[in-house]
Amino acid sequence: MADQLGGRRNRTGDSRNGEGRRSGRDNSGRQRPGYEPGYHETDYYEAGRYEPSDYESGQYEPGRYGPSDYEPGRYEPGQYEPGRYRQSDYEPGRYEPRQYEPARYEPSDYEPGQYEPSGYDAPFDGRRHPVPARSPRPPRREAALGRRPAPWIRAPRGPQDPPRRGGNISLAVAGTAALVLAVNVLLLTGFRLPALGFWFILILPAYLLYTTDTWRGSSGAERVGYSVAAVILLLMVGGLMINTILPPLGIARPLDTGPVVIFADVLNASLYAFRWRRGADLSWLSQVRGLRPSEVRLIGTGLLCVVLAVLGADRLNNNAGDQVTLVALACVIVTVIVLLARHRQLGDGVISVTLYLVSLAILLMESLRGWYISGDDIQTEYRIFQLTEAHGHWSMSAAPHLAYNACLSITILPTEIANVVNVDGPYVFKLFFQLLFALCPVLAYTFWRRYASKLVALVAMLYFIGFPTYVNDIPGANRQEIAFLFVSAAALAVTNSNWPQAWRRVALFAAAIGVELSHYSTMYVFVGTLAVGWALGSIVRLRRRRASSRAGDSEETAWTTARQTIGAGSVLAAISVLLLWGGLATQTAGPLLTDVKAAVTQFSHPSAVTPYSLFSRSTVSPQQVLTNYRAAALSQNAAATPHHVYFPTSVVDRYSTPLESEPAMPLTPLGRVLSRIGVPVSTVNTDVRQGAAKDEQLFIVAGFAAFIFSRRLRRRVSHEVLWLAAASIVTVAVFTVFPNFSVDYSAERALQEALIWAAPVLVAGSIALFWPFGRRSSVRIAAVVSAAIFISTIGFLPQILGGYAPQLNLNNSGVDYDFQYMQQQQVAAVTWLETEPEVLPGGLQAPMGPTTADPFEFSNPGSVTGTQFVDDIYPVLIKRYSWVILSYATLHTGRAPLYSDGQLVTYRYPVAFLEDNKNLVYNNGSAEIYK
Amino acid sequence: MSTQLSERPTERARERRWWPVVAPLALIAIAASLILPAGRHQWALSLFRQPTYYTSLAFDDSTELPSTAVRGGELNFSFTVGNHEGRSVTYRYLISEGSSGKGHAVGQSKKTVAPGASWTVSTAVPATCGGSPCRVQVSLPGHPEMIDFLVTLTASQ
Repeated sequence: MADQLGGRRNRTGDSRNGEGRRSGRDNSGRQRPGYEPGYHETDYYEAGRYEPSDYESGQYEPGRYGPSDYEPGRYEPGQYEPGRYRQSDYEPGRYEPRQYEPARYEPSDYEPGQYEPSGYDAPFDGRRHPVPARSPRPPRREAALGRRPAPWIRAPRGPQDPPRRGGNISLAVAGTAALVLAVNVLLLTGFRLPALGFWFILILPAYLLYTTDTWRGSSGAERVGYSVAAVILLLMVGGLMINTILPPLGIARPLDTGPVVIFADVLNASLYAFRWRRGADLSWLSQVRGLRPSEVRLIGTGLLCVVLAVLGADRLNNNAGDQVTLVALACVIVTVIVLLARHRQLGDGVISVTLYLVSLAILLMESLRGWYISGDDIQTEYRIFQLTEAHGHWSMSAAPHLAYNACLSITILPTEIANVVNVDGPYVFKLFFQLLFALCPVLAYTFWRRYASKLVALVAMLYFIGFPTYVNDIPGANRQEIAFLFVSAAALAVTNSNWPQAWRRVALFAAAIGVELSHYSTMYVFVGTLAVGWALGSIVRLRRRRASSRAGDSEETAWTTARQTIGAGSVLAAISVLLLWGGLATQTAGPLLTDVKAAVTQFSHPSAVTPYSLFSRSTVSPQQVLTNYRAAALSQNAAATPHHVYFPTSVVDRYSTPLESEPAMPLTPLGRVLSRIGVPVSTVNTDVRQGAAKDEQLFIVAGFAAFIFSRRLRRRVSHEVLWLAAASIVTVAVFTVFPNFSVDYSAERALQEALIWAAPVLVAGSIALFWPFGRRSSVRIAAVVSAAIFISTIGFLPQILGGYAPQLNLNNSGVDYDFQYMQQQQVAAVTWLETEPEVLPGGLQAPMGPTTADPFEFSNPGSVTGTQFVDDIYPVLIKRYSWVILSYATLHTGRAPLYSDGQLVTYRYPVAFLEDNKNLVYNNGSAEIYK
Repeated sequence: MSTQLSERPTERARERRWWPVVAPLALIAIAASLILPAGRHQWALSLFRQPTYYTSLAFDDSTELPSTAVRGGELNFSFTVGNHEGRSVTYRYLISEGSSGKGHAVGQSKKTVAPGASWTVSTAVPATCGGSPCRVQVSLPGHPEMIDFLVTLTASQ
């Protein structure tokens, strides 16, 4: 298990292993295969990073690769051709470790037949061939001393360095400048430029940052992650600056197209100047050209998943069935299985790109549902975004009581993007935010690869993108998507051993700012994770120190001496960011304190929103939720002044509101066949889904137990990472134990955030539980189990069998469709209502739900004052003179939703009550308005 | 090594055997689906937003609808029929009054409405309900949409 989990090891190890590394021989004394004699492995692999035991796991099998593996024609130029490079070509400091990371090129990558003969231009004769003369350069001082230069110190250019910018590059720069100029002109004249606009405001600045030496020592995916996160942070902070500075200078709408385009120009020019001074020579183009046909096919399959996901969502939106989406899901599953099966032959770059496409496909299946905004939180997010866009200016006073307004990720950021891409507002969230968030799983995978093998990281990835929250919830929580990107970047930065400690801490601080500006409750979990992780680490270190001093043991191991990033200062800095923005600037941190107080006093109250959780105690039944709500509504009715505001209870009591649950999908032909042979399909679906949730929690517990009891396994990871993983789970446990937190901040989303830190622990737990089947079998079984869970949780299994609650990404039915999907007739009803008097504030009642109540609040964003609210339509609460709207779901299913105690329940709505007591003044078949 | 070398052509041959066959087949299938009307419709469903067809029916000045009336007196109100069916539709409206589930027609008319257009009707009907409150209902026979309002009738002086 330890071998599988640990693709890499800490820098220091025991002397025997270290000797083996340095001599280029394995434990048995044989020449290490795959690397030519005479080359120091430190040129390829960092000193002390890999141990011979890494070659026992099946990934680095001793003796598997011999000189004969380097037959002619296998390698293309630029891909480790035998004899092409001299030792002097690999002088320290010239090639970044990124380029020769074992994560990217494993011995197994060099399997016979993998490389095309076409590119090999010299026959292999067992000798090295001369290469064009290149005089060896003296090693830089830092490299000679075994140290890495700080990322901000630019490497001096030697006289032999090839010119970095030649004619072609100048042409590229001129072309880019011309394109930027054209984009400026077109945008300012009102053209729609979705792709070019997105390139201009996000991809170009990210690319400029990507190609600097700021991220020295980082892999390609890591560079992309840092660059995109940095650009998003710059857009939010820069947008906030122009939002603050320009109005006093007479520009009342600083977030309109003109100022935003100029700001983007300044950003691009600044980054270009920065890149001019600190550019890095990156060979990404040659890597693209060096892709093998099988890798191209795999990436093509991932691309096909995205295309099918888009087409499938469109078909469902046109009421044309789920066939294409099912094919898209099947394509996703096949791609994932190929990744699992062929991971040894694939480089991390190819895996990262494929994972990005697969993750994006899953997100788009959900986010592109509906021609309008569909989903839960996204309705309010969109309203806040519209508010900022309508005013051309962000201000907390526009909606002072709505904490969402403090999230720059859904106010300033989408306004900037919308002004540049110039598409319909909903598609800023439905498409462009998903393009950004799909990076999160890739960054998480890259983070896990620091400590785990490809297979373990891939299995962890399946748990991450197969988590129901990722599939059905996160695409509708855009502020959290951006915040998760920063959390992932923080995880990478904290554990980047190529950076000095100070640089890691600066990066962590910047990421904390990004998280706080993006989403307050993600920041609470983030700060909680940092604080608890630091506390756990401090306690353990203190105990170890005492034990060592008592025993007189001065031996230090990697485990005890690994450099820390998160100290008390880092935690305090993150807390100060939270207090400054959430407390002082926006005053949105107040509810947190209220929740903390309430959590203490209501500890005995069970949480209702984590039905799958092992941690939570008993849950409130739906009937109890409805009964409690009715009691509260009756109290409100009785206490109302004047008394004739509501209909008297004697009238309302004639109409019952029984609880009514959402029906499951009918069995499909395959489901019926299984049912005929005695398989209880509905039960199987439910058991698989609930069992998956329980299993995942069990795996996490087993994983931590494995780390506690297995010293060898523990040494695979930095202790700081283990404490952070444990801390993230502790934070989730707090969410499930304290009802207020789970209601206000969603325990499931907290668990999704925790998986960024802890998914490999979950996988380690699953491997540990299957360990009795043998070392190799346990890993394979763990991979198969994760794939099976993935097939169920993304909705494929329930959809092809039936007998389970319908999911929005696959059906035009179900709770999410009924209450989160906006129909065109509802939009028409809202539009009609805009012209009527006394609607807002306080004059409108609609079924609880994002697509029924919320749209009325932003139908005219220019006039929104933040005081608008929409009341529920529960009969006891119907006012005599209010407007009441019945939505598509209530009219077609007879059910109305009720959100209470953090739980959604549905009840049969007595439409007869409205018919008997109010006028039906508008009707379009899918929406009715009573007055 | 010789074994490995001998395997390479086999693998490459396999690649050559499949992709030149699969790719043209896929292109032919796509082309065929574009030629057939049913196929084109399926592509349209996946690529373009299809319009949603419906009819809207609403009272004008819905806050000013009569709530009380003298029995036998006139009830003045207006309503609008909106045609969003994507084609011209001949609408017939029917105004009926009743209480306790029993109703009788008090007015009707019909008109052809162009797609995207609306038909506003201002009318006055006699308040002839047997009981009170009286429900005045406007419906479109052949369409599910209907609207109504309640009037409390008082005896004539």
